[in-house]
Amino acid sequence: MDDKKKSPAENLKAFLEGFFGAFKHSSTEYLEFELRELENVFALILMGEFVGIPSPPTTLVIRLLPHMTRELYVMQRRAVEMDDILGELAGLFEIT
Amino acid sequence: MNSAVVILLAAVIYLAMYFTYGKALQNKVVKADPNRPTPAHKLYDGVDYVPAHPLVLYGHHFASIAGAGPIVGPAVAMAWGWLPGLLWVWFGNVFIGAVHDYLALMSSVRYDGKSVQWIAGKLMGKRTGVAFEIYIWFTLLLVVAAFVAVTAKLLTTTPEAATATILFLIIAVLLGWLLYKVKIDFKLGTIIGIILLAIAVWIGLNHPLIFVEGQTKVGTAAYTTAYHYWNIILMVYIIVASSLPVWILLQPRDYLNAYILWFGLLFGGIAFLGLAKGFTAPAFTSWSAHVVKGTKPVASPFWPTVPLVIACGALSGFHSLVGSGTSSKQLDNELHGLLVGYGGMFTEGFLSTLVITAIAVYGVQITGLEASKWATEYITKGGLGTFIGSYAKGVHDFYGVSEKFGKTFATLWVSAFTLTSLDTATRLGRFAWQELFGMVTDTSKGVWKFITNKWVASIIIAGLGTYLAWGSSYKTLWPAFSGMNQLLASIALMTAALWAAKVQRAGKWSWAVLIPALFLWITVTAALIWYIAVVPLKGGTLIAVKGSLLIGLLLNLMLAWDFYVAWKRPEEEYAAAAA
Repeated sequence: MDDKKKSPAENLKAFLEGFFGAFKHSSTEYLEFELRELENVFALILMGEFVGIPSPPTTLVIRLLPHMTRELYVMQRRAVEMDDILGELAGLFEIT
Repeated sequence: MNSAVVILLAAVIYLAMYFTYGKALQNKVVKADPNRPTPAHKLYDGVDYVPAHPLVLYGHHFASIAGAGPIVGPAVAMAWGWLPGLLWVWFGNVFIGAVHDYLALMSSVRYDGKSVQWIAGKLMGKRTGVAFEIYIWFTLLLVVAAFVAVTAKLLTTTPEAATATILFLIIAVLLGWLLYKVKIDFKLGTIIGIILLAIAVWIGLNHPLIFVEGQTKVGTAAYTTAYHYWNIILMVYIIVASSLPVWILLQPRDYLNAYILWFGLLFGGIAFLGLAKGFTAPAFTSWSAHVVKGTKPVASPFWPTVPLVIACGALSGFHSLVGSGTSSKQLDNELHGLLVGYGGMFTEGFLSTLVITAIAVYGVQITGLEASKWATEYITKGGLGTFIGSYAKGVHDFYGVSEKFGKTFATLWVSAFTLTSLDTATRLGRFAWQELFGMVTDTSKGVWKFITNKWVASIIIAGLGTYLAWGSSYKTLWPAFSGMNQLLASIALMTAALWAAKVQRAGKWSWAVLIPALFLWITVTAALIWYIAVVPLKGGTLIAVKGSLLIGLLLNLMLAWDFYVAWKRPEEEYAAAAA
């Protein structure tokens, strides 16, 4: 973002969009977390073999593989980050 | 002194320190580089790592860290007079709390979005990370206990808000159904939710939920009976709410809470700024005013007990979890971190300033106490209810709305946040419980299956928390919860100090983190020893509360040793950690 090149009106618009965007974000953050978890579970069921969960690679998986590059990347990264789940959840669930 | 001067002074102090001290931290300690890709870009996956607009992130971060904490603590701390609490909220925030929040966020950004717990394990030693898991469950137990006590008291003494609160839960469920199942237009759904909320307040004003006549008078048998009814209702609520899918209640309620938060802050802030009313409460009462309560009020020295009372408005360990849990994964540019972490904490300090201001203006009128009696009698006659009443009087005097409306709204404001915190604390406590008992999976699968069952885990934390709230005032439980919260801040700030000195090699600017970290550790340790040794408790409360604090204290001593050992290690060893 390069605010210096924007006019005051554009900056104000960006400010309002950002400010009210925070409200919208608070209406979906837990749902987004659940969705991410469900997608991760789906990826693990299908492609768990790639992160050490024994599951026979079916022809279905091989056919879907070109379409699931991102999911494979996300699944592998999440497998590496399994040692920080409590920290992530503690950050999500605002206590006070 | 008057309310307008204090509010403006708060704004000036926070803005001035943001652009001077904050910028110095950004440049000398964090060494923020706008060209260095943040995890949101480096690890972008469109799922967990996604860059967010800085104001969206700031707004979300502030809404996440703001709750009942910045309101309850300062309201109780008024027993020392308005000046000590205000100075802690201002300068404790600037030099300790906001530094803690900002560095927890930025160190997490540098470690690819890992939590502060993970970073502590990396920099200090694996057992620091493990200690965190043990410690967090006991902290959450005290969160549940303190917040049940606060909520039950509020809903007992303001039955109008009790009705509004119950209706609020129903409205949240309805809004969740409309937004996420019916998929109504988002703006339309929001307007419906806000209008229904206003109607809920109106219904509450006209149909207060009273269990026992005379329940609003604290200390009477009627109050105690109604308080206990609310304890049971809240326990059932915690168990049920924390087991529901998030779209049904937690998500829509959290959404409506964001509007209540900003409305309450602006509505009250403008009122007290515009009123410019003089303070009537004493500026300073006594170094050892009666602030903390056990079976009887206890003379509480301002140092070291102030962090046991004022937590979130000045410093809160839970903020480091928010910053390093989600915010760090969504930071678009390193320069935005100052607004999100440092600025977010200042905004919370501003909220606490408003609380102190309101009570300083109207507290004498609300409590009926003479200045000479504040030190010893505010603990029984004042507190959170004084803020509620003061806020109500302020908005009545400025806008002309009825005091009953002001009181109902202010109570709804606080209880909306305590109910969310109770829900989330139970969810997180359930998870931490399951993690802790993972060790018995191999030896006894049956036991593991039973003890980590969703309902069993929820009933244990909700039941124990409610048991503690049953026989204790929130003025007993709140300091215990705050103490554990400050311990968490100690872990985070010491981790940040190590990061600043050994990884960032900030030179003499490392002292800007190390001094607050050491001061905090010494203060919290002294405060916990004081609480365990001095505050009289009995029965199960004694065992549960002091037991939890003792565990926290032992972990704190272990942390100090680990920090010392880590500090002695040469910087070259940290080069690998930085990679």
